Formats: sequence, C-alpha cells, structure tokens
Amino acid sequence: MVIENLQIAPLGDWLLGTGWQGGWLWSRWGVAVLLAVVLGLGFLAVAALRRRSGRPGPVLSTWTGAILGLFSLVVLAALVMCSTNVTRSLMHDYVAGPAFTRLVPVLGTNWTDGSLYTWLGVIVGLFFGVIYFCCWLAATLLSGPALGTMQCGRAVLEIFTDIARISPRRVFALAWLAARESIRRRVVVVFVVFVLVILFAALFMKKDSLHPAQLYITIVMNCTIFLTMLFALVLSALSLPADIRDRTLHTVVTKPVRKIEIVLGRVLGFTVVGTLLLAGIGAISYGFTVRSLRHSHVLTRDMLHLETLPGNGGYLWTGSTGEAHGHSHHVTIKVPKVTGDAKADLDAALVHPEELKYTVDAERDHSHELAIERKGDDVVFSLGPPQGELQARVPIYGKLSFTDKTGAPKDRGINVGDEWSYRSFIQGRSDARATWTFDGLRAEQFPEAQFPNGIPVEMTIEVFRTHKGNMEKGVPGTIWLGNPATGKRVLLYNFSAKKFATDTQMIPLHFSRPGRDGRIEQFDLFRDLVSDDGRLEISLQCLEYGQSYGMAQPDLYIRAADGSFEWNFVKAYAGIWLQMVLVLSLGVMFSTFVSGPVALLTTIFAVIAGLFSSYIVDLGGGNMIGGGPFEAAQRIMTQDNMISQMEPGFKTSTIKAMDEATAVVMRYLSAVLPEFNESSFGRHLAYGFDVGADLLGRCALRELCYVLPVLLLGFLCLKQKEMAQ
Amino acid sequence: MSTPESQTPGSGQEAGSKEQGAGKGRELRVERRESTGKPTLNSELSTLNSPGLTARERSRLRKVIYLVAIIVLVVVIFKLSAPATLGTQKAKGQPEAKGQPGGVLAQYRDKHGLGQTELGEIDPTSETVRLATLGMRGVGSSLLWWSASQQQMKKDWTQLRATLDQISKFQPHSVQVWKYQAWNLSYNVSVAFDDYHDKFYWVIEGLNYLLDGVRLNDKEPRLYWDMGWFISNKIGRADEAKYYRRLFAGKKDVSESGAEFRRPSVNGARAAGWEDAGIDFAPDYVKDFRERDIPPTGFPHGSDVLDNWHVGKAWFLAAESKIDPPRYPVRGMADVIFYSDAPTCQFYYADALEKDGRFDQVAANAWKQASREWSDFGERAIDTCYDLKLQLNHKEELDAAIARDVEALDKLAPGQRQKLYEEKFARLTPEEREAWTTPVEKRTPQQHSLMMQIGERMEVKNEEVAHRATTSPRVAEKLAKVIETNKNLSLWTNRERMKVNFDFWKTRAAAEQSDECIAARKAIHDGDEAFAKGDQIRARPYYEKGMQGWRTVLDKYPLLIDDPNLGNDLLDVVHHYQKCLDQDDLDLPKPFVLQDIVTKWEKH
Repeated sequence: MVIENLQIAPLGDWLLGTGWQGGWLWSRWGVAVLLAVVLGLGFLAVAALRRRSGRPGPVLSTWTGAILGLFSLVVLAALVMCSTNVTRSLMHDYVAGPAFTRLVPVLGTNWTDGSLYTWLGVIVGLFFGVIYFCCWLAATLLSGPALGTMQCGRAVLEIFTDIARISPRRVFALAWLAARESIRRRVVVVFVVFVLVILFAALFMKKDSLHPAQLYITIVMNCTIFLTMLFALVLSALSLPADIRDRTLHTVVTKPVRKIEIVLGRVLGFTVVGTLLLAGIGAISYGFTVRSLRHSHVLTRDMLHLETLPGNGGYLWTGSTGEAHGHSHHVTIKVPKVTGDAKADLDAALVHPEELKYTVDAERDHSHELAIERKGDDVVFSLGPPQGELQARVPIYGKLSFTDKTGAPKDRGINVGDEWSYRSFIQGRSDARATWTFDGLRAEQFPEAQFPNGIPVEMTIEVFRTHKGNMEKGVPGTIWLGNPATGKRVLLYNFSAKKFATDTQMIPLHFSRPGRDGRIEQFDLFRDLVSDDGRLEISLQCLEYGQSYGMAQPDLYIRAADGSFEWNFVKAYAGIWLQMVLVLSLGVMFSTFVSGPVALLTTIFAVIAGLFSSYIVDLGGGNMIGGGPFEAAQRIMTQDNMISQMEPGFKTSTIKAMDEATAVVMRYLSAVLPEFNESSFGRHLAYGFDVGADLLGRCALRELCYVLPVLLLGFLCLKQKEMAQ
Repeated sequence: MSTPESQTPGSGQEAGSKEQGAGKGRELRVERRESTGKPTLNSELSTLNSPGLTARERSRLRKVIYLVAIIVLVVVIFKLSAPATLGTQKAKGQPEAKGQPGGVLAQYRDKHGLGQTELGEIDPTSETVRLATLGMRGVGSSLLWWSASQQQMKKDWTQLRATLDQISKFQPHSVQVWKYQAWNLSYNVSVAFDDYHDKFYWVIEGLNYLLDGVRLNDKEPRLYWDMGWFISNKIGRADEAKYYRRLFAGKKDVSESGAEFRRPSVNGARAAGWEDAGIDFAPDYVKDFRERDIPPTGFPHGSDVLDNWHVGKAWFLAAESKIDPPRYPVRGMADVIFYSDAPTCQFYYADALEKDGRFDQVAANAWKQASREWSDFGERAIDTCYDLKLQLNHKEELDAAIARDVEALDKLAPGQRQKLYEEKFARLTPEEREAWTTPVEKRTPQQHSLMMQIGERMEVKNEEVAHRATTSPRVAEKLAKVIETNKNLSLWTNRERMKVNFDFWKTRAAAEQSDECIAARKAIHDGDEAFAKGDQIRARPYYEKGMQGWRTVLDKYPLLIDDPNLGNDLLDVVHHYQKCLDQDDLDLPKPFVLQDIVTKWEKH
C-alpha cells in the first residue's frame, strides 16, 4: 500500500522556485511584458530570417561567431572557476551571489531552485560552454581565427534560419507519409498482440487476490508500457536508416524540404500513429479491468440470523453472503424493536424492506450496495456491483515532523532495523509523536452537507512490536489535533493501528471533549484548531510500552475529494504517451547518424538506463553496498560477501580508483538520462490516487525539455549527413 | 538404335533417339513391353550406369532413390521416436484399449524417468511463457527475483505474490524455488503483519504456493516434507499456535473482542455458544485450501482432518512414499530424522489435545497411537551414515547379546579380564593411578585431562581376553569379534536414537498413557483455568493434586525429568502455586514435592 513520495511541490514552485509569486516578472504585468518582448522579438527574428535568401553574409557571420565565441569563453571560464572550492567561493561571493540577489525582486526569492532556470543554465552552459567552444576551437585551428569564427557564426545562423523557415504544411505532409509507412508496416499487429496477451493473462490472473484491482491494473499497465515501448523503439529506430538505405529519402531531400522538417515530420507521424494505438489499447484495458473485477454475491434469507441487542437497541439481522472471487461479505441489517417478539418484528420490518438500514462490510478493498425487495411473501436480496475498488483519491498532504521520547523535535523517528528506511518510528508509552502539519485548509473546502460525519483522514501506519503483547488486539494509539499558531492541543480519540491497511478516521467538524479542569469543552474545528492561515496539526502517539508506530510523510493525508477513476485512467495513459514520445524522439535522433540496428540498440540502452536511473544515481553517489562495478566483479570472482572490507593493497586501490572514475561518469550520465519512471503513473492508478495536474504538468514539461534538444540534435546530425541535395 | 515406331506413347521420348547434347556414341536404349509399351524399372535400373541415360531418366531415377531412402528413414525414425500413448476406453462396457509403449527413445525415457511428464503435471502456461522468452529465461528469472526482493523490502505483498507466480512459471521444476518462496511467504511475510488473521492468511498462501509446486513436481519428496513441516510446525508451534489451530480447524475465534480484529464469517449461526454444534467457522481461504490439501496417499485411518498435526502427519507419510533412491533419496537431513517426523506429529497431536482440555479416552488413545507409531518407527530399517541400515528398537537386544557374549568369553578365559586390568593398572604412573582412582567429582582439571589418555589404555579389549582363552581359542576370537561388532552396532544405534530423542519419546508415550499422568495433567489444567480467572483459592488444591500426580509419574519415569519443555511447564505450575500460597503468606512446603524439578530448571 506504498507509493513513495506522492507529495510533490506545486507546478509553479517547481518551475520557478518557491517564492516566485514575489517576483515582478511573474506578476500579471510582468508576464504580459515578458510575452510581448519574447513574442515580439521572436516574430521579428523569424520574419528577418525568413526574408533573407541565400547564405548569411561574411560580416554578419563573423560578428555572430565572435559574440557567441566570447560568450562561450565567459561561460567556460565560469565553469572552470567552479571546479575548485576556493574559486567557487570567490565566484559565489563576488559574482554569482550579488547577481542572484539582484534578480530576486524580478524572479522571486529562492528562484535558483526553479527547474526552468536550471534547465536554461544547463542548455546555455552545455551549448555555449562546451559544444560551441569545441566547434569554434576546431574551426579556428583548421581555418584560422577569422575564417573559423565566420564559419561558426554562419553555421549558427543557418541553424536558426532553418528553424525559422519551417513550413507546417511540409511537416504535416511528411508526418502523413510517416503515418502511412507505419500502417504499411502493420503496426496494428501490436494491437492484436496486446489483445492476445491480455486474454492469455486473464487465464492465470488471480481474482481472489487480496487487492485484485491493484493486480489487474498493474498487469494491464505493464503490458501496455512494454508493447508501446517496443512499437516506438522498432518504428523510430529502423525507419530513417531503411529510407536512407533504400534511397527513398533521397527523393525527399531533393525537394525543397528542410532536414528539420524531415525529423519533425517523422516524429509527429509516429506520434499520431502511436497515440491512436495507445487510445485503442487503453480502451481495451479499461474494459478488461472493469469487466474482470465486476462480480456480485448471492444472499438469501436463510443465510441470515437474528441477534437481539440489549435494551431497546433492536435486532441485528446478520450473516455472510455467498462466495464470489474468493471472498464473501458480512452483511448487517438493523431491524427496529417494536413488539419484543423478534420474528414478528422482523416480519413487520420486511413489509417495507427498502427502509431498512444496512451495512455490507468491506472486503478486498470494496463493498456492495444492497437492495432488499419484497416479492410476494418472499424477500429478495440483491447486491450491486463492487464499489470502492476503482477510485482516485485527491489527498491533501501535510509536512511530517517528529518528537523523540524526551519531547525534543527531530527530523526523523528512530530506526528499528528495517532494511527499508522509508518509514521511521516513534516509541510507545513516551512523549514521542509524529505530527503532520497541514496548510491552506479552509472551512469552505469541507461543507457540512458534503462531510456530515467529519473530515476523513486516511492513514497507513506500520507497527513494530518488540514483544508479542496482546496478540488479540491491535497496538493502541491516540490521535491529537493541534493549532500551530496558539499551541492548543486536544485528544481526539484512541484507535488501534491496522498494519498494511488503510485506516480511515473521521475528524468531526464539531465535537466536545473534557478539558483539563474536567469540564466539557465544545470545539469547532476551523474556529479553534485551524489557524488563521489554514494550518492544522494532526499528531499520532503510540500508547503501548515496547511497541512502535512507523510512518512516512504520505502515510497520513486528508481525503478531501475523489477524482474520477476514468479520467485518472486517461491521465495514466497520458504518462505512457509522454514516454512513448520521448522514445520516438530518441529513436529518430539516433537513426539520423547510425544504422538501424545500432540506433535500435542505443535507444534500448537509453530507455533501460532511464528506467534504472535511480540505480545509476546511487552508483554515481558511490554509496552502494558492495562497491562499484569493478569492486562488485572482484567480489563475485572471489565469492566474497558484500560487507567485508577488501584487503588493502595495490589491487584494492586500483579497483577503487576505477570505481571512482565510473562513479563520475555515472553522475553525469544520470544527470543527462531521462527518468522514465517519473512519467509512469501505473502505481497511482493501481493504488487509487489521483494523478494531479501538478504532477502531470511537471512530467510533460520535463519530457518537453528532453524532446526539444533531442530533436535539435537529430536535425543537426541529419544536416551533416551527406545525401543528394 | 530404336525406331520411331517404338516410341512410348505419351512418354515424350523418342525411343532410341540420341540424347540431345549427350555427346558422341551415346544411345538411349529402352526395353519395352510389347503390351504396354512402357519401360520397366528393371530396365531402367539395368541402365543406371549406362552412358545412354537422358537427364529426365536420371532425374526420375534420383527421385525413386530418394523416395526409397525417405521411406527407410521414416521407418527408422518412427521406430526410434514414436511417442508412447495412454490407454483409452472408447465406450462404456467396452474393454479398455491398451496404451502403446512407443519407440526406443520413449521406452528409454520411461525406463530411466527422463521425460518431463516424469516430473509431474505439465503446465501449458509455463511452457508457453518459457518459450516466449526466446532463450532469455535466465535473464527474466533474475529480473523477477530482483523485483520480488524489492517488493518484499517495500512490503508490497500483492505485487510480491504476483511476481512469485511469474517466477514459478519461469522455473517450474526447480525444487529450491518452490521451497524457498513458500517458506518465505509462510514464515517471513506472515510475521510482517500485526493481526493474526492476516498472519494466518499468509501462512496458508505459502502452503498454496507449495501445493502448486507439488503438483508440478509430484515425485519430489522434499516438497511433500515441507508441506508436512509447515502444516504441523508452523501452525502448531508458532507463538500464535493457539489461534492458528483454531482457524485451521474452523473453530470459533478465541478473541473475545473480535471487533478489534476482523471476525471470521459465520453462516447462519449465532456467534456465541455454538462452538460444539459442528459449525465450521473457518475463513473462506481455509476452506478452499482444505479442498486442495489432500495428500496423494490420503489420510491414515482415524485421522482428524481438521487438526494440523494429523494433516501434517499425512503429508510426512506421503513424503516417505515418494522416497525412491537413487533418483529421489532423502535429502537435506538424516534418514532417521526424516522418518521420525510422522510419528512425532502424533505426539504433538496428543499433547495438543490435552492443552485444549481433552483428558478423556480420546487423549489416552492418542498417546497409545503415538506409542504404537513410535514403536513401528523403531522397527524400521533406516539408512545411516555408517553405510548400513539400523533398527532403533534393537539396541536393547544388542546390549543383551553383548552381555551374554561377554559372559561366554569370560568363561572361556576365566579371570583373564581382571588380570589384564591389573596389568594395565600396574603400567600406569603414580599420577595416573591417582587420577584413575579419584572419584569423578573430586578430580582436578589436570587429572581430568589425564583421564582422556588413561581411559583408552585401561580399557580391556575383548580380543585381548580372547587371546588368553585357555579353551577353544578360535571360538573365543570369534566371540570377541562378534562382541566388537555388536558394540559398534549398539553405539551407532544409540547415536541414531539420540538424534531423534528416541528414548525420551518412548518413555513419554508410556508415561502419558498412564492414568496417573492424565489425572495429573487434568488437575493442572483445572488449576490453570481457575488461576487465570483469579480464583487462586480454588486453584491451589488442583495444583497440589497435580504436582503430587506428577511426582508419581516422575518417580516411575525418571527420564522425563530431563525434558526441558516439561520442566518449564512444571516450573510455571510451581510459580502459580507459589502465588496461591502468597495469599496466605505461606512459602513452598519443605520438602517440596517437585524440588528436583525446581533445582534443575530454575537456573535455566
């Protein structure tokens, strides 16, 4: 029931830094000015470039090359200055620091955390600091400084000219060509394969799993991702080399078609075909999942028995339904007491069975609606389709902080020796507690009509027992509410922790509790416990000595609303679409300068490296147990374990040095490789969490930031390729 | 040269015509039948090497030769590779059609058990999945194992279970995969949960997983043994055994506050007070498991199929039936331990009956059954690490035979044994003599270390006595050899016995059957019930009666004093009794009836 790190920063904070609202540029007027300047200048530049015919003149080229060259020298110098601690601190104190501070009123506080600026910095640094400088140096060495500068300037101008002169009509024509080629290559086979795989999978998927919805959704998503990636890989990597080999591309390049249009057209065409394919697969997946999970249970009168409640509590007509999909549900129907004769009261209540109150206990993440009808002398029970299995929670997350057993604040709780340190723990029967601080809560978000029983809080708490204790009961704990502004805290109630289950607790909007003086105090949640700026603290404490509660930040959240599962399904497939577009772009890019099979293998490598990017980051950090690749190979050959120290000596030093070098490469590689898992929303869908707009927006922007340079690189490589002009 | 008139109709050939481009002097001669005008095979064969054959004829000849070769090869291949077939009954009442043994390879496969069907059922899904990997099954398996370990670390149990199913598709005939993952589910995953209902669910999941492995590897005794072990020991001896046994047997949940944890489903019965009405309170997954959990050898007569010990015993017996060396020997443990598991289950069953409060004839019969099965086990000829089979029951016989033979040997060499002893003693140094004559408890550490050397030198060997036989020296030597052989057999038998605590269980079975023991246990049980309810006044006389009963039993069967389980149980009784006495400010009476138990086990 774990999705790590569900909580993400709002899109604006991620893109522009947490204080972006304070920057003038991002105010309404600032955005208007920015748009006007960017669009205006851009329009003028495009118009100028489109009007120009022939190659750029020598004077313009030389000036362009010189300016860019000087700029690249400056960037390179800055990069070199950052390589040592002393120069870096000098740079920070005398150059970067003042410059960054001056930009704060314009861009907002903490603007340096914004991803947009990081991306711009990397692109500028990479392009000007490395690529342009290397090209300029090579041209200068080959042709002399003046001619070399002019050549570089001319090349840059030609690139921008090509981009400015893109014809949408030609791009769409090439896209249509690419789409027709894909269909001619029978890509619909992917569709057929998917259907076959799903039908095959249905034979051995367990409907009686504890969480069948998770299982089904995970399987269809994995099948979809696998087939979509396969389709994207094969189509994108092999298409262009095949055309080059068959000389069909030569008939295209002899036309007034720009190389960038070829690249764009191909990617666009494949994307359209892939989108249609994905839409079809998505529709089948949805139908398959919903259909497979749909079931009902049999319930008849002889499955129920009457239990008398004490006093005038009435009766409980209770029992279990028949089994379906490996489970049954416990049903309880409340029968009011009238005469005191159980049978007579039941018969009287069954005159109007639709008025009876009932509960159907949840099993395997779902429950059913129960309809009771009278048909003649008999009563017919019918249970509806499962409810609650396919959902899309929209959670409100808080920030988690801990207090240790002495009451001192801590960032994390204690470690109980769990291999996975995702959760930390608080000890029982002590002052240790975990506190979630929620922000931005308003009473209007929780109208009483919509939340009559209170605000639902869902939590997944882990329990660690140092002794068996009472095995028949859960480990008890308490929930506290607190106002962070006034410091007021009130004990809401006790509860028993349910391990590996989502426990729903309700926070009433109005409640009463005994105060310290023993008098009953009335509380209004938003008036007394939520601060003026919308903050609320929810704390958990463990009551039993020797036991501990474990939690991570996403383990407790306010379930403010539910999104639509169908729309969430679409968003999950949008994530796959983003991955597909990136793979298509990479495949086309690689195929512009290597042969088809090599492009295929390179793209596969890029995809696999992207899927294991977190592992590569760990390798780059040099903190892996068992060491880097060379040390691991040594340990495998000597059958050594991962923990023991290697014997000091020349061999060990050499191995460690090689691993250090590998770690440096891995660090840079991990910074460049796209993280495919970030766009994979299968777990959100399977575990019933809504894919928020912030997350989707972030992933889309991130993919765009990869696709644009990849397409540009593809264009440059194809431009350099000698083909019939 | 043939004439145009003799051209074969429809043959398209001109008889006797010169072959086109055939070269000089080459003529085609075709012998014809007058009636058909067609050439015969003989004629063609006879002209096989004739320089006069046309290309068409050579082609035809080649085809004939190929056809003959194909027929010959098909016959040979059929003989070698014909599949074996099963017998079928075509219609009711008609005799069954016998199956065919198949070709040479099929018979060889069958004889040496090399076919995949010899391993167990064939799972088409698994075969398809393995083919679909296109040779990358190893890579796929490694990735799945890595995924499973990640999912287990992150406690993603649903995905872990699905991944294990996929692993089993990739490696259906790898016994260790089934053993490890079933154990992983039943032991590791189950204890990760807090609610004992959830824990038990995962214990059963591990068993279900193992059952799938049994189905696909139905000749592998290790999997059957694991079934027996999980069902008997995991369910019967875990900390949550009290709850597991009840869930397994379908008894009402013992948890009084069932609202804290989930209540098991009840169909058409009241939740309280109907325990003895034969209602099955077992969860659905337990009922489903029971339908699959039938060993191929069935349940022994008189088994309680709802008791985990009896079900475990049935699986242990099934494992024994699958032992078929050299292909399927006992692996991973000594044979004596392997064969002791089934009768040991009966002991624990009888013990569990008494823990559940049954002290009637059922319990007594259970102990009697245990005693019989233990005796049968003792009669079994079991392979040992000494390269011979031994029977545990025969140690006493061997010892008796040794005593008889020693006596006979001494008669043939009267007084020589003592004389040899004295001679050996005389050869000791004064320090060694002093060490030898000092009682054990008074020896110094140096004397103890000396004793290790002295012991061997002081031993009077039977060969030495035989050498000094005054009458029938050959008979004496033979006797000496027989004595040494029997001594070795007795020693090895004793070692094998110690591996399974044979003497203890034998004694315990005898003791537990006795009326004194049953009465003592019942008294203790009644005392514990009263004590648990806080009624220490009522508990005290029960405890006194129980302890007195145990005194009688321990005097009769002193070996039981060394049992740590019994010792700790009685120590708990003593502590409870002490608390009862504390009500009246009394100490334990002296001499205390179970003082030896207290002395021996208190310090542990």
